[in-house]
Amino acid sequence: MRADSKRVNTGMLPESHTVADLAELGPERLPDIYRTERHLIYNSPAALAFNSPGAEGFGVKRAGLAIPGSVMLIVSPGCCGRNTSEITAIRGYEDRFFYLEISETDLVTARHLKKIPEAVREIVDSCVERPSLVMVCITCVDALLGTDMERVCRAAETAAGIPVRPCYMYALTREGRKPPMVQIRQSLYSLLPQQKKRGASVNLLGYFAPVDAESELFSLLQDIGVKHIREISTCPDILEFCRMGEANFNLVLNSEARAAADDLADRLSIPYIELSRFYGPDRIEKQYEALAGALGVKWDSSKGKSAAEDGLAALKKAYPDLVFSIGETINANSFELALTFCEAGFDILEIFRNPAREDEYYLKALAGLSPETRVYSNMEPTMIYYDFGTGKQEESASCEAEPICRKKRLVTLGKDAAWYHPDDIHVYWNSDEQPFGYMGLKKLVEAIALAVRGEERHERAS
Amino acid sequence: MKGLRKALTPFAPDQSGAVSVLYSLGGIIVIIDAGGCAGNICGFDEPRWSSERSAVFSAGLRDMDAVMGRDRLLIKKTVDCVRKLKANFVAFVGTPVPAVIGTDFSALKRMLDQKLSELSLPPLPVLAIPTDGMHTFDRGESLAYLSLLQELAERNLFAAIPVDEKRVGLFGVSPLDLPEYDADRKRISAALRREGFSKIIFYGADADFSAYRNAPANVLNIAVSEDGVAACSFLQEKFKTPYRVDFPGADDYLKILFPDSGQPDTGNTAEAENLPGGAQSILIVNSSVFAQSLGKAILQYLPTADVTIASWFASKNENVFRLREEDDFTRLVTEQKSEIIMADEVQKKLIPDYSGTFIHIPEFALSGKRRA
Repeated sequence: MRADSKRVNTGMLPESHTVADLAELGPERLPDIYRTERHLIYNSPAALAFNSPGAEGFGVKRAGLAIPGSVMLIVSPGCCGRNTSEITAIRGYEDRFFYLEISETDLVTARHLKKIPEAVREIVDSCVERPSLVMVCITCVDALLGTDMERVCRAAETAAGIPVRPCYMYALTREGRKPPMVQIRQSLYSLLPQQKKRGASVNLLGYFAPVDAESELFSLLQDIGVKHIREISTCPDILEFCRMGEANFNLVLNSEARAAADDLADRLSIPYIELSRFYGPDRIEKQYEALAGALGVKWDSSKGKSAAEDGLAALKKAYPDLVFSIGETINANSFELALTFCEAGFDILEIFRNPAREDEYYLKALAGLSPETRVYSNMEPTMIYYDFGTGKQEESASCEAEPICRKKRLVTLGKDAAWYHPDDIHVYWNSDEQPFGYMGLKKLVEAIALAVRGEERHERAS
Repeated sequence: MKGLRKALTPFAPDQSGAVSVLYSLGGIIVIIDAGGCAGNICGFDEPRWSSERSAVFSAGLRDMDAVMGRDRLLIKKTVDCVRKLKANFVAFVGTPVPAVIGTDFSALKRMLDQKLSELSLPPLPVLAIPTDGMHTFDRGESLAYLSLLQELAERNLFAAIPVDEKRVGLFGVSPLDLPEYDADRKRISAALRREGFSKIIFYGADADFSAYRNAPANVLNIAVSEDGVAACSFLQEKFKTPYRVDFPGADDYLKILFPDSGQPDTGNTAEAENLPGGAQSILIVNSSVFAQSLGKAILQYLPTADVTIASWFASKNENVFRLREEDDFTRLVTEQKSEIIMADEVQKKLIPDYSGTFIHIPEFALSGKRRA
């Protein structure tokens, strides 16, 4: 990510509020700048994750190909599939996308729907290896047309002789009851067949890339006798994926998988427990204790806790002057992460994220520890005036008593935060592989220390 | 099957073309979409996005906005934005959603005009660009140029200044138009300096809003791509500014074909006897004006060459073979027996058995790859 070369110097400032203000207002009276339905959505690189969720990480298109050996037919106006060439550059995604472009006449007559079964058959015939599954991806226009894609997919299955499933890249519904990333999980897990239950099998639902294999979550589960811990991303083929149907229970690590877990509970009688990703050691410990209680087992849930806490304390000791700017394009809840570092004694300059109802607890806790921390919305129009790199507006606006800001070393956490501070120390922490538990905190702290040391070396060299 | 793509990814859409023209002009650009289109336009098709800020917004439509046709809400959000930001104009850019629900773009323009007036806010040029994501970028560029120029004319915003004999205006030169955006602007500038021009205005590239207002000062306009023709034609009608359709400096690409071709920069080229490898037939696939200019340069250099020009994008020139389906390209290469192909190498996938010489000339609007 590059720094903005054309600085805006208008004297105008981006709108923001302190965590103290937001904690006092509460979720019911959240200012309009944090409510995306109340303003136009600013389209900066920092807001890319919102405006184009598939541009980085997993959006519907990449997630839709989670089943090994599957291919995707995107049925849409040309613009919807335009950025797919970027995904095809990722290893494992080459030659897996096909396109059926919709014209104006198709929109009026819906004749494109009749072509889909034949197109699927032609694609299957053209593949060197027979695909395990064809995902048919449709977009906003079909959402508006009310297309029954389930029926179309059934016709395509008959024509091609392999499973065909719909996936809905409906940006229009992403803040609705069933956003696209919820639906895609439902669609994929709907393929799991009824299997004989095995007590020693557990599924991790939620992510399309693996959970860090070094997370203590795995050893905790293994210690209570779990032999098979399956994730969609680690299944080598569709047969292994189908074995996810034998699980004794599911652990839901991302709330977007909750609807799919509900479906599996109804259809295959696999119960589930939902976990959150925390970085605060005490919060991690409490969650593990609660999980043990729900499973009716006993385990040493503090396993790994001291190593993570020691790492955090060592970071504070080695670099007491670090100040954090925390974004939302990160494998974390930005507010929980801010609280974790605040609790460890670090200063938090700012957070880039719209507060959600579930963030109320963190905002209140942050208000007690760091009331002047400012909260920005990446999507709000006045963010065009955020003064890259200088942080001056923060000093004047928020740091009257004890300026945190430019006197200390600023570390950005999250790719979007890095965008605003091109000359500071960056830890993106947004890899596909998903950190979890104490190990997540330990590795994050290590990544920060590594970045700070790298910056020091760079400064010495120059 | 018609419309089925197995090798090529979708081309740059019209909405990207429209934004590309307007990107650097200091306007508020409202893409009427749910978010994904705005993300694609900027995050993928707009190379300036990572280095140059522009007030590009998504309307952030949700399903009920589309179902209920909440134009007033869109106008309210836009007015809020106008109050908060400094802007030269407001542009509404269409996507598939407004195309499906039948958004009346001229009504949006009227509503915003009226609202600004009611609130005693300064009037702003308002552009209504009904792109739909189902056409290619060249249509969007053409619409954006024309919409802006027409709006300036309607509001009497063109400067009353004399013609400058050293000033030339180029249309159809956005990052989506040019094979090599930075290098091509240098090539074009060098060629036009040789013609005696010292003020070279790249409309749709780095020209600012005032350059459009000062367009009457251009002594000549050049449509470097087909999508610049309508703008040149408008300015000819309005100010009697002559124009030509040409890609100045295209002969610089001869260096790729003929490394020993002398100094195209000075026009000092010698004739060759053969194409590389003794070939006689060559197929050029790219934006039609560029491809024709390059073809012309090749023929000047090697009059006996058999040059075929093709393009995936619209061309009014009937000598340009229009490609529409993947099979069209495969068939053309086979039928023409092209010994050399100059095209974006993403098309190699369509001719796996081709044994001739394939020379890569990027075409980002086609391939979606900046570096193939």
